[in-house]
Amino acid sequence: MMLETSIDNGSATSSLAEGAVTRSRKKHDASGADHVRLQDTVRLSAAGAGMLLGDLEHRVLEAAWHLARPVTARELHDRVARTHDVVYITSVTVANRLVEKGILRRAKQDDVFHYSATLSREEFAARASRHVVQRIVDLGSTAVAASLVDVLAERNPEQLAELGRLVRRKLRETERGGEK
Amino acid sequence: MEPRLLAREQTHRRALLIAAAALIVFSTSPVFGHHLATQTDALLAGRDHIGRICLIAMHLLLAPVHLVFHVLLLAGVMYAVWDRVQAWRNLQRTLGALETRVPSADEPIGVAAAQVGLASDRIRVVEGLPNPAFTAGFWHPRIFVAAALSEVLDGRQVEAVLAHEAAHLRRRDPLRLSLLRFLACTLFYIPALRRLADDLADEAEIDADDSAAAGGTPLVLASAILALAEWGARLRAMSGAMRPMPPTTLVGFQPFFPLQRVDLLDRRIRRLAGEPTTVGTHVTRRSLGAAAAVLVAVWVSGVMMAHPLPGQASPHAHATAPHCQHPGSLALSHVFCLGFETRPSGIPCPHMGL
Repeated sequence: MMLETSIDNGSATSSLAEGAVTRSRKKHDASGADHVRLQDTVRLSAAGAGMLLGDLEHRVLEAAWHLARPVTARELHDRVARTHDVVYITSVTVANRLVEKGILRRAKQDDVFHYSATLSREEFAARASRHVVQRIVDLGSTAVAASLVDVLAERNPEQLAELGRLVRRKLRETERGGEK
Repeated sequence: MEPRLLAREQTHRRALLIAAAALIVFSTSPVFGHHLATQTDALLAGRDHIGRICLIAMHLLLAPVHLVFHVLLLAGVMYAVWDRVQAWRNLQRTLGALETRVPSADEPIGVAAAQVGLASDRIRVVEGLPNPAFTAGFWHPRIFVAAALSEVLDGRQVEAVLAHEAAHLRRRDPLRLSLLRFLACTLFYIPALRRLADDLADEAEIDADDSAAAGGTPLVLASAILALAEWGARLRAMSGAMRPMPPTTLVGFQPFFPLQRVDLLDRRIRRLAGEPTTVGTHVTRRSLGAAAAVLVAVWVSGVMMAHPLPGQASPHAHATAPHCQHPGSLALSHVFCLGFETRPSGIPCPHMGL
């Protein structure tokens, strides 16, 4: 069985080519090759990207996106404080934490620090999606999930091919046995 | 499946459970045992010497070792709690971030769920899930499947995959694996326990395979597992991410205790295909050696602590005779009571000529 997988800019796709052990339904792309999509960028819920940050971090980031220009910590805080009860120093701390994470940018203008988002909403969603993909793959190793297969485990292609031949042979034998 | 293989696997599972339980009990009981049961002193039958070995000197020498085990155990509990809290938070954040849906009754995953008697509300379908199928959640476990699973696998294969996951769900395997991980983290200084926990996790997969294959379709499950493993191999090749196989090797005393390299995928496929296979383990010679060394250290120091110093209250009151504690000399110089004169006073050791 041949599978083709690619991960690029947060979108991970997988396709299945000829010779499969499985009898899969296939789709056709523009080049005429058989493709089945197994994996794409994992779809996050409406609050999904925000859940990867702390609640206040997400609110500060939302404020930066909403203001859409370099703003002072005071402006960020005022925006956040409209919907959430928080003191000024906490907003500053959270904004600086987002700077450390590379999500906000901090630059001096007229001797005052100004903050702006380094990523657009879409870019952040793509990054969050990649992050979630990695976390899901790691769930098995942290013993919180039982996975059907360890998708990251090292595999010998020859061994996979041999096992594929074994299963095909056994399936043929079973089918022949069923016909008799 | 071969009856002989099944019997060997049953024995293997029992051995794993007994080994894990024995490691936990025997590595922790001497740490606390003497505080709880003063009768442990009876082990030494009221003696201050075993042959030429001075138990008083041993007590003084091993007291710090015993203290280290108290500290290690306390640190282990704290580490294990931290590890599980982190894992739980990560799980909540990761699964909470996903856009999921319950499969409808007329879509292939919903149909397959109905076929294997699995309530569809226990399943969450996720678009673009990198891991094709897994069961997660401690108290209310759910099965998470990639939406594209039904495109890659045929209906019977999807049924087999869901039957496998349903077995994990029934057995609450995520909670069991998490508890094993907690114990392994608590006794982090015994790496063999972590490896036994990995072995037990492998056995959980085998059990779930057997449950799914009980429907009479072991080859269908084998083909589904293989298809998804090959997909994983491609994904890895493209992304560069890889988790190497554990470097388990055959050990020197293999005629008595052979340790085979773990190849879970090979074992699962071969046994589902009705072929003979080997039962591997993650346990290594080095981890066994380390476990043995820890057990010896924890037991010797624990038993020595149960033996009272002269003047200490003891239910056996055997330490009434003045013991040859040599003021100013190190306990190390008196581990073997050979009657040497070490006291500045010039009085010979009362234990001379034992």
